[in-house]
Amino acid sequence: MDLLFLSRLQFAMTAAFHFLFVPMTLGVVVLVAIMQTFWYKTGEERWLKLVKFFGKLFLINFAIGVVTGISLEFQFGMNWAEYSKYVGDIFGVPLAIEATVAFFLESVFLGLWIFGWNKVSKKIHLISIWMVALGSNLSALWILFANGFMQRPVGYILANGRVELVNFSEFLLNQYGWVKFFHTVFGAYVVGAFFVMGVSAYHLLKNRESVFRSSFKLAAYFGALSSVFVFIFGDFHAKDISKFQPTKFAAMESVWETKKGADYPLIVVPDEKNEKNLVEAIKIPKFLSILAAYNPNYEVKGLRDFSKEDRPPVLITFLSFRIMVVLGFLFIALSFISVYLSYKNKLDNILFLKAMLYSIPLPYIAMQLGWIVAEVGRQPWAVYGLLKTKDAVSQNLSLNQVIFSFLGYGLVYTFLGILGFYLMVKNAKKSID
Amino acid sequence: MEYLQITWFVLWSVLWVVYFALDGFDLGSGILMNFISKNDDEKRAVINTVGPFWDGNEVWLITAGGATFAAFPKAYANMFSWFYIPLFMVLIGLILRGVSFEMRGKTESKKIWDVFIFVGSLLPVFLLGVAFGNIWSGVNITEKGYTEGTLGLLNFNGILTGFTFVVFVCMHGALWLYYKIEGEFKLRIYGVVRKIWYVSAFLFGIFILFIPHTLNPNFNLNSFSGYLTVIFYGLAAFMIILIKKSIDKGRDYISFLKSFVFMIFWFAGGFASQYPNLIPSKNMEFNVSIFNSSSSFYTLKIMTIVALVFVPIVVAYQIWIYKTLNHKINPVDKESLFY
Repeated sequence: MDLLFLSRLQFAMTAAFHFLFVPMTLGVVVLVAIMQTFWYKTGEERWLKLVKFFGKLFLINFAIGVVTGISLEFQFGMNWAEYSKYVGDIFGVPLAIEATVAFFLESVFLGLWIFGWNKVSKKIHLISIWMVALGSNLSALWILFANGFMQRPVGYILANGRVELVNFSEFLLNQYGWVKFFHTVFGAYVVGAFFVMGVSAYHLLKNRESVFRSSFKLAAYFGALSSVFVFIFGDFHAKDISKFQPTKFAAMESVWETKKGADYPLIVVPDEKNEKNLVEAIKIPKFLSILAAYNPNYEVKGLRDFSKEDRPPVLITFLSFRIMVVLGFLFIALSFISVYLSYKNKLDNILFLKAMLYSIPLPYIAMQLGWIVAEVGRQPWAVYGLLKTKDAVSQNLSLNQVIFSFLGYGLVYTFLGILGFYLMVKNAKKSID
Repeated sequence: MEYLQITWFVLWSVLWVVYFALDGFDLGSGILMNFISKNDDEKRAVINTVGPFWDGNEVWLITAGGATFAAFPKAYANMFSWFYIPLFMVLIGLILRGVSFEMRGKTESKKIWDVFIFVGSLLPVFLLGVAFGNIWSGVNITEKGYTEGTLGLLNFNGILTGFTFVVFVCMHGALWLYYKIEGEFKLRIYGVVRKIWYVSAFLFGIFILFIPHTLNPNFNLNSFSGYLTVIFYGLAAFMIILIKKSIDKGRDYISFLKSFVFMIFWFAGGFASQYPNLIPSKNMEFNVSIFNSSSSFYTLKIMTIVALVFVPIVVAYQIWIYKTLNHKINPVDKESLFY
């Protein structure tokens, strides 16, 4: 157990935990805002009931999400001081802008939304929930600009022993960051859609005429649209990865040998130790090259072309990516079936409703896997090609300090996890008909 | 270059000052809640006064952290890794406190949340006080950085400043509650306000006497930073007397506003005294200053534009929301209690 490993574990744990709550915030707030817009336009009681119901679940989720976010921003300085010194000139910028432009909007207007019922006009109240939605989505944009730089550094020079920003517009127009933003945010909308569909399905199983028909239908359309966009931007994203992060792309697909016009095996069993795949079966000709660059003769780099210490862990990256992709197709299928059944007014298939209820965790899992691909796949780099993770860790910490904070976070986050789950289930089961 | 670094020292200080002046009252309310409330409805009333605002106030801390990162990355990296354990405890405190505000009303058992709200409010204030007490009196930095750990921070200056932070924040919180709460509970809070004022005035005197910065070898009374420090502390002393006058007249809103101004002047004095250092060192050779820790000219320029455009917008809508939700809360009127 060394300090670097423990710091990495702590960052992974705190980021993964925080990221359980972020996607639901991003997705459900948009759905709640749409519901409230319907209520504002139609004055129909059912939409108000749904706003209050899902608003409450949103707030439980938001509370844990917001408090666990601060420790991430502070950890860069606390555990990754060398990283902060080396890239702070660039990396600090989107973080500071995120707080100024997005967090204030989100937090201040959420206060108004919670306490503003009957105190401000319906219109102002509606605007406040849209402001929360705007703020949380903007915060995703800025944090993904920051992450986009770590994946594909642009707009910088090396000067004074560090990375310095020289072209802010190049930084802002980093295609890697934008595509990642849309891929992630639409993924978060899928989380929100499946959450709302799943909870609605639970209530529809009890009462077929429930107001939850309306929320199910809305979320089905939202989920169908979002899951398609996740796919489209995921495909774009793969092109950027193969171009800018060949080691990550090779690990995602477990490619060992460089090849032109590479086939795509549907079944792969990687053997990381011997630098090959034990099984490669059901090959689609040249498809891997198409996935990498829309070009059937594109040369896909294999991992053997890179020295061992420059490769990411293959098995984790590969499995996470494969499972995520399979789940992504499942979301498209499930949400289109949901749209069809809602449209035909046939939401009475018990088996399907149950399936939707138990599908709630799946998009969460897909989001986590996506982040594992992004972050584990970037290893051994903290900033791709510029700074290795092992050189990023704070130099003046003692192991005991990090053990203390690691255990502390573990304890507190376990408590928050149990609490959040308990309150979410309890409140999600309450009937509003 | 230099004028941008100085601009960012000012902006950096402003972010911290506004953070303490704003979050101060909800942290103070959190510390006092269990001691001034007779029953659960009164506790709920306290939480409801800060309910719409605490999160927005806390964003000033995140912004201060982010601005330190963007404008002075080396100072950010040093400050946060050198003060590792205290900062970790600040974070844990804020996490438990924030969650408690939101969850208390949604669970059967209230005891644990009451403890978290108290500890989660007290710990961050005290520890930030300890940290700034050490900064304002100079940190023992060697060529290896600061290596004396948490215990090394718990010296006389650190502890004195920590207590001072706690007491001032309690006064600020008590005046906030005195302004926001109605009915019989308000009268009891008034009693608390009067008592806390004396403790605050006393500690202010002690603080001035032992002003931690007299121990900071970088501090020079006969300099621009020295003059500013004296002016800000003088204004703070003046405000604390004015607060007493308003309290005696029972003017709740005005007393709170004066307390707000007092917090601004007092913290401004502290930050003025450390100029141009972000982490002054006992051994002046190792000062972490705005000149040796800042970002590049280009980055500072972009950040200045961002700050000048967006901070006024944030301030405008935050003030607007305080005005919009300026209703008073009476624990007897359960309709007014959301949480």
